[in-house]
Amino acid sequence: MTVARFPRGLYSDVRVERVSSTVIAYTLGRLDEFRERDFTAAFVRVFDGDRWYYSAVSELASVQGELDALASAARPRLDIEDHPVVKRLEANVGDFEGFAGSSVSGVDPAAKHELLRRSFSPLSDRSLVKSWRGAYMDRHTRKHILSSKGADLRFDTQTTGLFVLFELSEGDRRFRETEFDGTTGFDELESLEGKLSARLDQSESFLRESRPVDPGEYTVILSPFAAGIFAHESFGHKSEADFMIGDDAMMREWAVGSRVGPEALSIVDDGSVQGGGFTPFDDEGTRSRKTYLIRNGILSGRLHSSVTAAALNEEPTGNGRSIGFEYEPIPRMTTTYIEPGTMSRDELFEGVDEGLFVETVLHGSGLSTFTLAPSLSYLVRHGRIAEPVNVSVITGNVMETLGMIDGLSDELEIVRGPGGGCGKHEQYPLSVSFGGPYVRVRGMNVS
Amino acid sequence: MVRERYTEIIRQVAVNVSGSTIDSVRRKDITRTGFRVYSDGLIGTAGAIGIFDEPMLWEKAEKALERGVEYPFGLSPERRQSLDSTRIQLQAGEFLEEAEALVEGLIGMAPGLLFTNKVLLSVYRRSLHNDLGLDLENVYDELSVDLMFKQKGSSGILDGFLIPSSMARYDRSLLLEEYGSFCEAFSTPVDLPEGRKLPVMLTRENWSMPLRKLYTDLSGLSIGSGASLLSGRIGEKVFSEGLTLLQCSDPKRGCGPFFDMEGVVNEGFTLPLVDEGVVRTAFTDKRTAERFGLPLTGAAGGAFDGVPCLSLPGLVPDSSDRTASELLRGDPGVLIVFAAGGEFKPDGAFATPVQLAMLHDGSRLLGRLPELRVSSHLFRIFGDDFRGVSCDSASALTDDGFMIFDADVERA
Repeated sequence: MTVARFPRGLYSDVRVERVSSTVIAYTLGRLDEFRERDFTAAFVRVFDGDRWYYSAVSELASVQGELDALASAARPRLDIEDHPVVKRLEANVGDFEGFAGSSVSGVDPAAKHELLRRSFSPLSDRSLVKSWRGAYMDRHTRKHILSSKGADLRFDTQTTGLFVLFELSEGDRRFRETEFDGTTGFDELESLEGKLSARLDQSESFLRESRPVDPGEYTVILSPFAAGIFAHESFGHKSEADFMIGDDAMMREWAVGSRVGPEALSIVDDGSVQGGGFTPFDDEGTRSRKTYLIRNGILSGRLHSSVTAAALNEEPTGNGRSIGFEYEPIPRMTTTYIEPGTMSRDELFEGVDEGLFVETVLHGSGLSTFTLAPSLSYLVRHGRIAEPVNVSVITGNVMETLGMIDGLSDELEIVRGPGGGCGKHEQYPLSVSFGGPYVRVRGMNVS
Repeated sequence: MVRERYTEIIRQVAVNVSGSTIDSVRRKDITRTGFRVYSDGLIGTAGAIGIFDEPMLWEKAEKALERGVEYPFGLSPERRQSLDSTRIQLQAGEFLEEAEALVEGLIGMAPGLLFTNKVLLSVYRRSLHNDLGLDLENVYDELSVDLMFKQKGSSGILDGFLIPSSMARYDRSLLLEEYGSFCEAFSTPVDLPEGRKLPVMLTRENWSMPLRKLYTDLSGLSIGSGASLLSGRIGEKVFSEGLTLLQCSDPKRGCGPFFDMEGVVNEGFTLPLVDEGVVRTAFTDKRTAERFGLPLTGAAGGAFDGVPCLSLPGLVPDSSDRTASELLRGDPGVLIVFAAGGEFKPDGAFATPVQLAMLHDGSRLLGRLPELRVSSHLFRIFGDDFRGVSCDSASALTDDGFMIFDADVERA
């Protein structure tokens, strides 16, 4: 695509997205959906130094007209190039498409279908499984960004994954769990068969044996999955710099250089990690990078778009992301994880006489108080995983809880989800990843 | 072979507010078209965003029949109905000025608060046509004031959301008057009343908090397969007599369009799933109804270019004949404004932190309560502890009352 003319006295850019995706879905053994989608559309931005003007269009032929229409609402200024936001926008040029030779759009749909069918084979002949749904999903998005600063950038992202959601029931007892896997290339994606079989065995035991947890304060060991959600929800969202604009109190609390956790704690956001959060550039054309949010317990950085970077007099971090062509880029996470520590997993558990192990989590939320809604959870007795318990919610103050982390295992596991699903304001779902080591936290409020 | 075409056109203007300043304006004009062909008990689909090559897409849909997705159900027959259900008398052209005036008014009345997020005006045009004479079209709109706020000096990301956020009609003066009362109550701390069990009040914005469990457990798939807490209980009085829960597709009640993705239209656009506490039926699409022998309720959704599938319909509790004050019976009510992170356990137990709650006497806000924790159980919320939905609306700009039930409430 070419843009004949960028309006004068304004910053403007166009992001063209060409998307190929597949969804194959089954419910209780019957094929429900087999959808292959291809489309091209664009998001157009104009900035006059005071306000942004956006338009989402599904007709590429109308891009120039939209640019001109947006420009007519804006107030051009001769020094727009000197505006702090515009100065921070990168003008990258080049072709950085990494999935052109391995696009999921080139994979035989029958192979995708077969991979899904093999995945749910463990569900048959299990009397406790009352309902289940399973799906294969992939998406290859090729982006082309052109700007009035001279950007002419092509890059792509890709996700592919499988998930199965199952519901168990026996008498009055109910339990719901999922198993999933995801990556960036179809060839690396394996059938869920083995993992699902093990998860079903575990879930059936949980259904039969779990009892309500006694509410109270516990030392909690979070699995890499749970630790990743904790990092994402409790800390990652607070690191998104748009929450700080015009807010001196937040800036004081989030002053870079403040101690917020123990020496062993480092939390990172990195768009270059392969997986759901992989994106070599953000949706403003800024190259992604590894950003330490906390480094050795010290608050070290935050996640920026060009707008928030300029507002806080910092530099963009490649986190200006949108969920698709209909939306503007805003500060979002990519792959967010807690860096591993030095203890073995066994050492971490041995340090707990009575506590709680959270293996899987339904969801989490993070404001000044964070919440985790655990699914598979177990008591820990004398350093060993003991009986299963039902936990409604784990809560705590974000900053206080960071200070109560007293152990990190030495392994890092990035959760491989089928595309991720982060929501912020109206933009859901955004493909992200998260993870960490096993993390031990003292004094968490469990109910 | 039968052909069917689904079209959705979305036109939207969104004004973004950051730090109480309008920093961007976004326009959206998107057309999505889905093509379906039915033959020999199978369905094939294709679709396009924007302009399309129609013969090519019909061909692609026919080719997709080879995927083998079964659809041996009767197609919705001849019915012609076209409705303009727009409610907001506001044109897109004047919307920016209106949003600017609204934000300015907010800043003037609450200078100690920072507002962020969006004010949106959306107009939807959805239609479904097939060779059998089905010809349905609905135009409807939504005005959303999705503004979050935080106190200057607060260390949190946000302290709450303005309510009402979604409205049936628009009047800036009335809206600012209501937001003024809301902001005044926010700046007036009050204590949590004595007693562990207190009446909890929810406006439409938060009805989904307790209803989310019924979205899973009233699903035809869940009930039919035996996974639901309500499996085997159809026809049984499970809930309070005061609960009549409607599957709603009435665009005038914020549940448009009036037809589902399979072209099913319910009489009066509503259908009771729970009637005076008795579970009448699960919500179903054609596939689920056929699989489990359940009545078809017209709850098909799905992607514009996909196979229609069971989706979450609008669920609206019918209002009682009593006002909020009458339902409160002189007790002070705990109005939940913002509660994130709560969850129902599979057995129906429920607990949620409440980040922002106000004390309410049934006719006005009395002040801001401390952070709370609310817990109960599905069968108590909609059972013995259910007081009802008030007949008086929670706002002059909406038609929906307060949902009120008793629950365990304690300081966080």
